Amino acid sequence: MKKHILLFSAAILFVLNTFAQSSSFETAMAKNLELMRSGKTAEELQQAANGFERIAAAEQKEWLPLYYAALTYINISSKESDENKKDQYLDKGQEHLNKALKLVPKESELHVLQGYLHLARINVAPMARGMKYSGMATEAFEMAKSLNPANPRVYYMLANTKYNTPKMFGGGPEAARPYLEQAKEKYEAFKPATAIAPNWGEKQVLSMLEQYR
Amino acid sequence: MKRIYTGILIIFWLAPMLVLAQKQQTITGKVLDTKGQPVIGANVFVKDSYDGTSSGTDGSFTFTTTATGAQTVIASFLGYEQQEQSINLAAVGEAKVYFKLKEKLSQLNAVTITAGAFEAGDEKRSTILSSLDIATTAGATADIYGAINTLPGAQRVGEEGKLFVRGGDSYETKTFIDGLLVQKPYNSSVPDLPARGRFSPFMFSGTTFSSGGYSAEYGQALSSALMLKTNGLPEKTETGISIMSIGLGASHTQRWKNTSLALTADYTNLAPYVGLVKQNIDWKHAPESKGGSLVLRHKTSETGMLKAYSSYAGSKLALSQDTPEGTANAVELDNRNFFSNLTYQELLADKWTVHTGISYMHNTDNIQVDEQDIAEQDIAEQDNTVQAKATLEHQLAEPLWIKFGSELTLRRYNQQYQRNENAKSITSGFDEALTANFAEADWYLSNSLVARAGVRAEYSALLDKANVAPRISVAYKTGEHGQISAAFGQFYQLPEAQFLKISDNLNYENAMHYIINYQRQKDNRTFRAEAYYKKYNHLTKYNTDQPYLPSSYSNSGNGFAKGLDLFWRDRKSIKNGDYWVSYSLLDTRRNYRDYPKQAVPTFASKHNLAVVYKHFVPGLKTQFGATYSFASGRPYHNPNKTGFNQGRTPNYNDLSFNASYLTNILGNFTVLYVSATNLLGSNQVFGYRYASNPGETGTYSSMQVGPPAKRFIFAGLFINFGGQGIHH
Repeated sequence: MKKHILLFSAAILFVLNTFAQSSSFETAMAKNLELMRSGKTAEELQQAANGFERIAAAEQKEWLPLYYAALTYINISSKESDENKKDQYLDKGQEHLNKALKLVPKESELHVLQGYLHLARINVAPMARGMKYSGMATEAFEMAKSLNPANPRVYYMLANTKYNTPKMFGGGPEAARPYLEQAKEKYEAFKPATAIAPNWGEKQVLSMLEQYR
Repeated sequence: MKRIYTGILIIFWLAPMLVLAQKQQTITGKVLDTKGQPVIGANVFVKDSYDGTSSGTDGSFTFTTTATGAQTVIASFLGYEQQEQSINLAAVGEAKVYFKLKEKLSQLNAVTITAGAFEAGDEKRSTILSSLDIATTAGATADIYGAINTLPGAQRVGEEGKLFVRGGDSYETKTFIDGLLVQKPYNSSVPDLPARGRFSPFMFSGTTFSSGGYSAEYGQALSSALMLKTNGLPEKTETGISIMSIGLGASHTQRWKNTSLALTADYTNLAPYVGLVKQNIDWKHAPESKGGSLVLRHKTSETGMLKAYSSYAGSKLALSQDTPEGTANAVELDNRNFFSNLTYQELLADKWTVHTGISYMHNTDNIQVDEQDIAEQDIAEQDNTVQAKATLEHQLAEPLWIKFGSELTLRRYNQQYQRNENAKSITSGFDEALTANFAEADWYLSNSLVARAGVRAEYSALLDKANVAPRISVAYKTGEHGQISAAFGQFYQLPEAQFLKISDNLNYENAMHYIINYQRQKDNRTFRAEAYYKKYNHLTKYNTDQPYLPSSYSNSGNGFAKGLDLFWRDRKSIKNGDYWVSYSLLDTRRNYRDYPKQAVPTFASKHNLAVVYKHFVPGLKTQFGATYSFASGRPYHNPNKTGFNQGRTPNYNDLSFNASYLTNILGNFTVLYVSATNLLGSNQVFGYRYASNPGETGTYSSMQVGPPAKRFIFAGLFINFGGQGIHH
C-alpha cells in the first residue's frame, strides 16, 4: 500500500514539476503583459519590451514573446516624437516580427501585427507614406483574415484604417461604422486560447462605437 | 524501511521547493556608452534565462538570478552593439558587471554626405523635399525643374526655364533617371520661349539635386546633377483621367502580384487658352503635343526589380517673333522624341548589389525660320543616344562600402542647315563613343565621421582624349542634429553638340569644385548653409566671324563662380503650414563662347531668393500654396555703350499661387487644381535683344525679352477611378 502511495506521489511530483516549468514561462509572460498594459511612458514600455526580449531569447521556439516584443515596440514608437527614432523602434519591432513569422508563418495574429506596423510607419511621414503603407497594411489584414476569419483584430484594424481614411478617399466615421459593428460581433464570439494569447482591441472598438450614439 | 520511504517521499515533495528556495545571487553594475554616458533602458540579462532587468536613468542595474556557475551576462540596446560578459556566479555572492556599449554603425544614424546634395525622397526619413512637395510648389506648375528652381544654388532664368546652377550654364546640369543619362530632359523650344521638363514629378519617388561635388558615378556635367529615382510597384490597379485648361490625359495602371503595367496618353493644345488670355506672343500655331508612355515593373525576386519605361511625344508650335530691326520672323518647330529606359537591380549573394541599365533616346527637331522678305532657313537636327551601364556595390567590411562600374555612351548627332530655298543643304554632325569607369569607397570611421573617395576615368573616341577625375568628400556630425561636410572634385564635360558638330579638335571642359556645408536638422526644421568656389578651365570659345571653320574653335575659355547658399525649412511652427526660404549669393565671371573677355554671363544674377509656403486647410479640404521669387538684375550686352555685358535688367519679382481641392466625384478620388503665376503683374524683363547693325542714327535698336504672357493661369481636374480608398 505504502509502495503505491509512494509511486502515486512520485507521479504527481513529476507532473507538478513539468507544470512548474511551463508555468514559469506563462508567469513571466503574464508579468510582462501587465508591465506592457500599465506602461504609460516610453521608458516603462521599454522595460516590458526588454522583458519580452529576454523570454524570446531563452525560449527560441515560442512566437508569443516575439509577438509582444514587436507590439511593444510599435507602442513605444507612437510615444516617440523624433522621426528617425520612431522608425528605429519600428525597425526593431519588424525584426522581432520577422523571427516570429519564421516560426509560425500561418499565424493570423502575426499578419494583423504586420499590418499594424505598416500603419505605424505612416505616422512618421503621413503625406509621403500614406499611399504605400496603407496599401501594404490592407494586404496584410486580408492575409490575416484568410488565415483565420474569426480573428476579431482583423476587423478592428480594417475598421480603424477605414476610420482614419479621409472621406474623399471613401473613408471616415460613417464608412467605418459597419466595420466596427462587425468587429464587435467577432470580439463577442472570440475566446483567447490561453491567458497569454493576443486579446486586445475590444475596448477600443467599443469606445469607438460609443460615439455613434 | 518505512522511515526510508517516508524520507524519500519528503525529499520528493520538497524538491520543487528546494529549487524555489535555491540561493539567489545578485548581479549589479552599470551600462555606459563609449563616451561614458549612461545608457538608459538597456536590456541586461543572464543568457538563456528570464533573469534580467533594464538599466536605470544613471545606467545602473540590479537583479537577482538563480543561475550558478559560469554564466554569460548580456547587455543590449537599440542602436548599440550587443555585448556579452562571462562571470562565475559560484564564486561570489554578489557579482558586478560593467558594460561599455559601442554605437552600432547604421545607415540611419550615421552621418551622410550633404555637401552639394539636396536629397528628396519618400523613403528616407529626414528628407528635405518629397516628390509631393515638388508637385505642389506654386509657380512650378508641376514641373520638376520649376520646383528645383526654388532651391538654393539655382538661378531663375525666365526665358529658358532650365536649370542654371551656381554660375553654370544650363548645359552644365545633367539629368539622370535611375542612374542613366537623359540627353534631352526638356521639351524642345525656340529661343526666348521657356522649356519644361519632359517627365511628370509623379513618376519619381526620389530626387537628389546636387549643386556640386557629386559622386564619381556621375559624369559629363560640370556644375550639377539631378538624379531621379523612379517609383517601384504601384499600390493598386487604377484608372485616371485629367481634364485641363490646356489638354486631356488618361492613364491606366494594372497591378498583378509581382508585376505592373501602366499606360498613359496625353494631348495638350494651348490654342483655346491663348485665344482667351492675352499673349505677348503672336502665335501662329499654339503649342500642341501628343504623347504616351508605357511603364512596366516586375519584381523578379524578393530583392530583384526590373523596370522598363518608354515614352513618345510629338510636338509642334509656330509663332511670329519680332526682331529688334522691326521686322518679324515666322518660326516653326516640330519635335519628335522617343525615350526608353530599362534597368535591373538585384541583391546578389553576400552583400553584393548589382545595378544594370540601358537607355535610348531619339530626338528630332525641325525648325523653320522665315525671315520676312529675306530667306527661309531650315534647320533639322537628329540626336540619338544609347547608354549602357553596370554598377556593383559591395559591403567590404562593416564600415566600408565600395561601388564601381562602367558605362558606355554612344551618340550620333546630325544637323542639316539650309540658308534659303535655293541654297545647298549643309550637313554637320559627329559620332561619339564615350567610355567611363568609376570606383568609389565610403568609409565610416565612426557614426559621426564618414569619408568618400572616388575616381572617374573617361575616354572619348571623338576627341581621342581621356580624363581622370578624382572626387573626395567628408562629413562630420557635430552633435545629434548638426553636421559639417566638405567636398572637392574634378568634373569634365564634352563641349556642346553645336561645337562638336564643327570641330572635334577640342578638349574636355573642366570645373573644379570646393564646397563646405553646415546642416542642422531638428524636429522638422532644417537649416543649411553652404559656401563654394568653382573654377572653370578649357571652356569652349569660338570666333563669330567664321563660325563654320573648325579652326575658329578652341578650349581657351575659363572662369570662376563663388558664393553662399542658405536654406531654411520649417514644417513645425505653423499648424498645417510648411514653408521654406532659399537664398543664393553668387559672384561669377567667365570667358566662353564669343565673349571678348571675362564677364558676368547673361544668365547670372547676384541675388536669388525664393520663399515657398504651403498651407492645408482641413475644413476646406484644400491645400493652398504661394511662392515668391526674387532675382537681382542680370547682365545684357548693350552695343550702344562701351564695354561688354555692361547692362543690367531690372530686378525680377514673381508671386505665384496655387490651390488643390481634394474631393470625390461619385466615389472617385478627385483633385481640382488651379494655379496662377505673377499675381501682382510685375513687369518681368529677362534681357534685351539688339539689332545686328546700327540704324541710320548710329544706334542699335533694341527690344525687350519677357515671358510669353504676363501670367500663366492653369486649371485641371484629375479623377482617379478604382482606387480602393485606403489612403491616409
